[in-house]
Amino acid sequence: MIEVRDLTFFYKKRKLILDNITCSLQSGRIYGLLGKNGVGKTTLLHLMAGLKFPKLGNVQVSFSNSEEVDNLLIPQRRKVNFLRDVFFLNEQMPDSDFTIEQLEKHTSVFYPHFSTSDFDTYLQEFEIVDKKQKLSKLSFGTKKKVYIAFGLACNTRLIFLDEPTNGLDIPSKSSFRKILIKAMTDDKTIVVSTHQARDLQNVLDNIIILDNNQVLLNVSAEKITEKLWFGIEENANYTDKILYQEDNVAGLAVVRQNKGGEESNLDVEMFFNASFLNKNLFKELFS
Amino acid sequence: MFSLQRSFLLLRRDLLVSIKTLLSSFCALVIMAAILMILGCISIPGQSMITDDFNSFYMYFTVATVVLVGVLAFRSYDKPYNRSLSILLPLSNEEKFLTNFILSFLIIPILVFVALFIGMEIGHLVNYLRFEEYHFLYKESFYSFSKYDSYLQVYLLLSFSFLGAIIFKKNKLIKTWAIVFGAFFLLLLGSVFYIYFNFPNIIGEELIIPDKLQIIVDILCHIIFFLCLVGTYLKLRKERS
Repeated sequence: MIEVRDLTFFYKKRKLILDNITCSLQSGRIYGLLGKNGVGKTTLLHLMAGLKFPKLGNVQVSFSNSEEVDNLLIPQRRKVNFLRDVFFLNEQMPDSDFTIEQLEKHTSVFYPHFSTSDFDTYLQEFEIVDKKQKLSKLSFGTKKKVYIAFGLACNTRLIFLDEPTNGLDIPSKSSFRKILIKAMTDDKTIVVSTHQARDLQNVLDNIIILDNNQVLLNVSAEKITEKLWFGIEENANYTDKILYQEDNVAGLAVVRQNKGGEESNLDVEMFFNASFLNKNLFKELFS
Repeated sequence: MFSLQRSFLLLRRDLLVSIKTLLSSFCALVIMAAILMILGCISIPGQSMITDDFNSFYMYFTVATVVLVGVLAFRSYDKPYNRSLSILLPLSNEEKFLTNFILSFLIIPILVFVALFIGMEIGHLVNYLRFEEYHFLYKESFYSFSKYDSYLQVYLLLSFSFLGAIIFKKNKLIKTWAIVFGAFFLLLLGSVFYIYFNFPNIIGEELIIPDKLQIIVDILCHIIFFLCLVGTYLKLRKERS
């Protein structure tokens, strides 16, 4: 579980990136971190992983069924018992002269829960067969797939993925969703920062939206579909209830309040757009 | 929870990452030393062409080591996307520091020494090919190296490169040494002005450094060396992505 309390971060005092934000991330869930460009998504991920230090407030991590005596861990202290349970995948891939095999051999030794069979399974899912390939010779997308497979095979309890689907081809995006679900266990927390909301909408358990240096919403997918309805509106007369709409080949795609308890599938991109048009209403709905 | 085993695993990993650079540097140093030996720019005791002692060897040794430490120490922290992987690698800051310390103050100096030594031996062999007798230089080389009493200065210079390697991310060698030379120049200028205004009579006379001053300089060197190491460790602890 990650607890973010009264967290403030800035590079220059006049320009706040995150302003006194508080949120909580439970284990056993996959979080989608959404927001416009430059809103501080990557910064928040860095702060939660201990790659950056808060100016004010703090981030605390506790693991369920933790064997550690000191159950509460502070990411910025970078203690080994915290680091061995964290994997962070950057949007840009690291440079390395290693082959995939060497990466596995010489880096996995630091991760006590690394599973070679998981790594092989994930690589196969991504259709990467030859582990003797040099990482520096691989394309950006293939390199990303290797690091995703490696990161998930480390079996760390915190996994931060920054724009993981950028650079992946269409079949790989589908494979990514499959292995993300396969890798998920009750003691893990996965946080995915992304602009490609539709790539991940069926795997996200929670959505966190950042806006104006604040957490606008932190809400579960179940709660969203309980309160909102997503779909094609056949009768245009209901426009007074519509919270967001956009033209679609099939008709008028809309988001409206779900007062009748109807079932619908969450459309993350439309939810994101609707939340910006109805900030106060959404805060009230999901408070 | 300090673990020597983890440090050595990281050292092995870092050496493998830098193996290309290390090998190419080694070969380049062997060739350079051989050429310098043939040209007579490196001398050995008793067979000097330019100097009567081994000083030129130490100069090449120091420059090569300082450059390699500046390039290879904390190399995985240079680029932001490599940096986050290195910061989050499950080792303590002490283990990461020790790994880079061993690389910079032990492995690289030994590598440079061996490369220069082999290069000199090859150069010497080429010089003596047309003569009837050839003897290996290793005895003189090791004897001279064991008698060398200025390791502190060499290690002090290495510590500047070591500190600069973690402070600067781009052009770290140039930036580090621009600052070191700048500071040295200012110190020299300040000393000259101080002597000029306070002891105008000694200008033009031979400068004799008193023993007491030499002791103070040595102590200062130790302090600066220690501060550089502490500074490097603290910077490593505060390293961010």
